[in-house]
Amino acid sequence: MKYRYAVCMFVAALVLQTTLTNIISIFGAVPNLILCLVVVFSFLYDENNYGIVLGVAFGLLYDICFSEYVGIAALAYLVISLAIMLVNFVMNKESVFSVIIVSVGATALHSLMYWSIMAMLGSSYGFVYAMRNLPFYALYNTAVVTGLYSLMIKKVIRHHNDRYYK
Amino acid sequence: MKWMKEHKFLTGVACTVLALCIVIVLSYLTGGSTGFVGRQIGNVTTLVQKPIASASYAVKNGIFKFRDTVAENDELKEENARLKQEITKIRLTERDLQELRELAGAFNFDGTAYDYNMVAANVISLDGTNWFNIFTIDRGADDGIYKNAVVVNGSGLIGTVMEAGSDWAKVISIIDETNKVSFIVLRDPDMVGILQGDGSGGLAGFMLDNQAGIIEGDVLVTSGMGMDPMYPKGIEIGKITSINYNMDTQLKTIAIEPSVKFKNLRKVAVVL
Repeated sequence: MKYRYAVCMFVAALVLQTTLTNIISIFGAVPNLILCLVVVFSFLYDENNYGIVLGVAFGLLYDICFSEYVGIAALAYLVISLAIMLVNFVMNKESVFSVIIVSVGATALHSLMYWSIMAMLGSSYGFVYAMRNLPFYALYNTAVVTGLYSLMIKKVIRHHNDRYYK
Repeated sequence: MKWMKEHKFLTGVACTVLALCIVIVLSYLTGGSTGFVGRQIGNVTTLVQKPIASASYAVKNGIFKFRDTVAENDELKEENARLKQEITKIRLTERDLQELRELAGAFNFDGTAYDYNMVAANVISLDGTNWFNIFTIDRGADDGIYKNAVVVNGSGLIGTVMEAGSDWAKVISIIDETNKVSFIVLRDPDMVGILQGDGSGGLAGFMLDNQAGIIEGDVLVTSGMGMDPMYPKGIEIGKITSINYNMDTQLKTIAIEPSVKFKNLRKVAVVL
């Protein structure tokens, strides 16, 4: 995938994240579209570093526009992207179960990092409170990630019997 | 240097992590202010978000069939909010009126002015934590909104403005533990206390008088005391859900359920 298409997807995610997703919340949990894109791009395009570069850039943009402190989301996306690139060595890219595991893990890591950094900055939010929506959050993110993965996997892993294979 | 040249990727990642850590610390030290560049970026994103946010709400409410009903409903909600505030103010002033009248003659007392200006705003985005402590509204400095302006809705106190751009503002809610609010009990305004977020989506506080005769279910409203932010007197905060006496600190501590449902915020009003 070309960089400009990836950037367009992240821009759309940034805009939709803060607007449209709020109307489909379940128990206050909404999908994190930027995180979903970071997961998919890090999982499928690890050699191009899309996940790291765009994750940091759009994480910063998100923090500037909508968060209390700048840099937390960017750092979280960077760490998640690196973690996914590491687990890629032992994961089968062509298995949908792999991406589900990665998605759930990334969501948990994102919540954990956010809570940890906020706690270091003096926030007294309890661990249980910060994690209370994690199951819904993980469910939502996994659904989005699986959808994106299904759309993009055929462009990444090409087989000889695919019609478009050249 | 040789190692860095041989490991460009790792060097780049390490430098990025270091830079982001510095950014986080600087952001924390400046109280979360994003500066001039951040405000300009905020202006651009708000420009894109406003129509999408309003469209998304319209879709949710049924844009074609119920559009008029929704507009009417919004107007009624705003009117209801104003009336609720009026009722609270009247109930508060009723008890004090007698004393104030007597004092007014002796000290030329002017009373408390309740005629605050308000600006209605739509919530256009929430922060990424799913904690509901920060959100962005579609009104800003151009409408007279300033840092620390108080934000309310029909149910009661929501929070204060953390940062204001030209046509957007970030609001931090009272369930965030950094916001401390002085309150009085609506049933007996002589009972005064201080509350703040309890770190789990609720509010916790203590009474200044540890002998205060509070009971579960007592409604708490802002006292009008304190500065920066100065919460106007009489805004409903929530209800007492539990009372404990702390033997170590000798304080009567309370847990409070906020009146505002932070998960369903759509429209708010900023007190100017």
